Amino acid sequence: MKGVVFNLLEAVVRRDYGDDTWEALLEAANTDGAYSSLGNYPDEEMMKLVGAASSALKMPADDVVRWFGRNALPLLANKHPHFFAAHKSTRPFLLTLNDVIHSEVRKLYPGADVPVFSYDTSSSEVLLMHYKSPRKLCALAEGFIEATAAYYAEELSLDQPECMNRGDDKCVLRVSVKKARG
Amino acid sequence: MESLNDADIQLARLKKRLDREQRARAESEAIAEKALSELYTKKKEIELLQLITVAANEASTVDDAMRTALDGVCAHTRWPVGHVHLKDSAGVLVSTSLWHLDNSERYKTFRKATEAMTFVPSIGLPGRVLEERKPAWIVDVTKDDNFPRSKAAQDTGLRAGFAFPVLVGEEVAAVMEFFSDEPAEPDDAVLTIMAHVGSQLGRVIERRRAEDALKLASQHKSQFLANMSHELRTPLNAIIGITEMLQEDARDSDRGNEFEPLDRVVRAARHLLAVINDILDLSKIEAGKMDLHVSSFEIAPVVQDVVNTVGTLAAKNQNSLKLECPPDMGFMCADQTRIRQALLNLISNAAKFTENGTVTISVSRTIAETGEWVVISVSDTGIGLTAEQKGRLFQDFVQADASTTRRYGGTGLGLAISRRFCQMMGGDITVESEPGRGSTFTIRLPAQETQSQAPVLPKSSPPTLRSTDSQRAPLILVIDDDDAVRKVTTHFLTREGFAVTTASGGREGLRLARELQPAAITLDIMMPDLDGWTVLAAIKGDPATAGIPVVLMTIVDEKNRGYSLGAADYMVKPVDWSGLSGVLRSICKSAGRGVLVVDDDDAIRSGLRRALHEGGWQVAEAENGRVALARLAEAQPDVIVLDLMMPEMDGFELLDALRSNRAWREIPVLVLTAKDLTDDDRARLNGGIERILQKRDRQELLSEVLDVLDRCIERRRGESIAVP
Ligand code: HEM
Repeated sequence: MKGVVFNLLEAVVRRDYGDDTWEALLEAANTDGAYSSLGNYPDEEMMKLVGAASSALKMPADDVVRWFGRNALPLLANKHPHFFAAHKSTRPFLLTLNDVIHSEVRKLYPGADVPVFSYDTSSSEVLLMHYKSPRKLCALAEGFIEATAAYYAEELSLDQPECMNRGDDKCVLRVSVKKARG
Repeated sequence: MESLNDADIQLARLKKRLDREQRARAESEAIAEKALSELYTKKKEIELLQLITVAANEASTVDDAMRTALDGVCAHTRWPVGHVHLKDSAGVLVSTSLWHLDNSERYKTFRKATEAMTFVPSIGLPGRVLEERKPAWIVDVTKDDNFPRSKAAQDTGLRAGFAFPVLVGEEVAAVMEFFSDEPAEPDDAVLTIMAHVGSQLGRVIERRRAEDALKLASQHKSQFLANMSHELRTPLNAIIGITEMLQEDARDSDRGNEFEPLDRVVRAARHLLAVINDILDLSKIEAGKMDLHVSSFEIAPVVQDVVNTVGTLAAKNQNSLKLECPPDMGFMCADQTRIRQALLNLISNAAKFTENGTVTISVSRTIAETGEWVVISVSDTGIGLTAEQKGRLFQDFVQADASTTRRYGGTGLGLAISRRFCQMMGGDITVESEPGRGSTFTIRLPAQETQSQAPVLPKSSPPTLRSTDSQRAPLILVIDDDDAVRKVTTHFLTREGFAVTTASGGREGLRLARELQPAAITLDIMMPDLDGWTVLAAIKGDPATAGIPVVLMTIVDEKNRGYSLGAADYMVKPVDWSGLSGVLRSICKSAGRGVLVVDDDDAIRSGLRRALHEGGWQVAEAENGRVALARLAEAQPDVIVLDLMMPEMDGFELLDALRSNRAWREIPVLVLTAKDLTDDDRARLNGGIERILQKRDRQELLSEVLDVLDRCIERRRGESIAVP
């Protein structure tokens, strides 16, 4: 996993739970905590940090990851505003994930192992995103999508009819949005 | 107390954090340094490839290209010794005189040992490469079992070695080997680069072979014609001679009834001889093998002489010959024999088609902007030509048309040959005629021979093509040995708004393709001089013509072979004309021009390819800057669509490479990027960019690209029209 993800986690934990919490998490996860954004670090370190956060915050691990995604995405949007500025709504933004966003991410962060989604766009209302990854980070995707909808000020309904964490061979993210009223 | 404790804890925590930040920073720097050094290596590799690519394109001989490569590779690797082995016809590697030696004195023994050897497959370093057709590396040649020159290497202090093949297709044409003073472990990056170098050089050899094959084919053709005409002329001369003897016998022994049939044999044989001579002349002219013998001579006596020769023929039809030639016509500089031949041809034709009339030959000099001209016209009061006949006369000028033959007797080639000669001397023959009133054929020649070596362009296209309008029409080159096909194709395509030039054979076609740079070529496969496959390979193998789309027209259905050789489309005879014009129109929509799409993203590339194909573009693709350089060397596109962020060699670097190459500097570049360009980036792009498009929605992007490219080409066309 790229160091940038660890940096993001550090940033949101410090911001929302204070410096001590981050120190405590590093200690609990038994990592040295020096992450450079372009470096590559073992996936297990991220999982250990998530585990430590889960027990410290008394939150299921998935919820930690979702929370992380929700809070990290605005930071990413700050760093790379053009990915977002090109669209006015969640759905077209999500459809550029493979071709534009993650494909550029692979160049900006050499060695990045980003997922490839496949889309089912047969309905204009409901977008189905198929996700498959050994890391099973569908909760991160959920967090990202939630934050994206918030970014475009849209009401989101999101669930997972299939999920690798429930034994399916892939996750299916069912996304539909409508413009928030008022 | 407690606050002090708190402060301590605080301090310890800060110290820990500082520690961590320091480690993270050290790590970042290490990453940056590594990336920088990789970049530097890459840059060096690119410079080497660029050097080789330029050499491959510009070197006038294979040896020159190889020598540049030897020096370039040695400079790149800092290895002191490099050498080339060429494969001979027996499949054995033979040492050449091509060496790079940092110190020729020091490596003398090694050079001697090498040049004394040949390598069969799998023997020694070169032999291994020959066998396996891929690069090989030896850590220390003095310790290698399969290195026959190890003693010489030991004596001169050479240790590590690598070699790679110069591949022409699948075949190893040559092997390049390099040696260093130190043992060295295999370097994959170097070997990868060398594979590129090898294939670049392979293309030089391939091109040279195609040229040689062409030369050989045309030599064969000329030789064949010379032999054939000799073979035919010898017995014909015998027939004529013997028959004339028989005629004399018949006369002497009063067997007058035998005389007439014998006379017919002689006349038929003489006619046949004339046909053979004409065909030989014409083929020589077309092959560019006809030499002019230019000298200065006085005009009046020559014309008078020709008129005297034709006197009897004119008298036959009760015609009178009138010569209007001021005695002070002076001199001209040209090929006297050819002028006599042309004049004789015109006067005898006039006399043949006029009865009880007058044939007037008038000679004059005129001064025009282009210099001083000699004008000789031959007018008759004969039956004349209808507008349609006249048109056909010139349109079908190149070939012996049946009706022409009937009309003029003789071979029907005389007029064509005369005209070609006049064109070779920088002039022309034209005709004016009114049915029932007579015709005037006019020879116009520069008084001073201006350009005796002027290229002979067959003027087989109808005269309308010379109007301004048709200059804008895309030019199609029709290569077909069948004159009927050329005629019909010309007729049809002209009607469809194309300008058409024809070539009756592969050799001529290739020359015209290079000279005229047509928008597209239609190419027949089955031709006697050079078959279409060879011609297609030669067109695609020559950087000057590789970009011209070729539509194959043939009775043999081998589409895949055609496409694999680079044909743009394929039509099976009998040709469906509206199909052909549709294909040509779509090809010519972009003036038959090419676009190179450089992006590491498969999805974007294939999307662009599809969209651009539909828009009539020829699309070449590259996944990074380095591959793009190779593509550029193969065929120069008219426009480049370029992604900025790519692995291996990014868009900025490619732009630098483009700008440092004179041939590529002017190619418009359309930049696609998902990156927000910083001021720095913009400064690096520095204006030389057609347009920058942000990558967002794929569909929008595609249509935007098409739009910009179309406008780009429109503009370029505008330019080339404005400055013809
Ligand atoms: C709603 C939009 C997005 C979704 C659903 C999404 C989803 C994901 C997921 C699930 C992963 C985990 C990797 C895995 O599953 O194997 C991931 C990784 C990543 N994504 Fe995204 N992503 C989104 C937007 C973005 C944006 C806007 C950026 C940055 C500009 C970004 C940058 C990254 C990076 C850097 C990684 C880490 C790759 C690695 O560590 O090797 N993503 N993304």
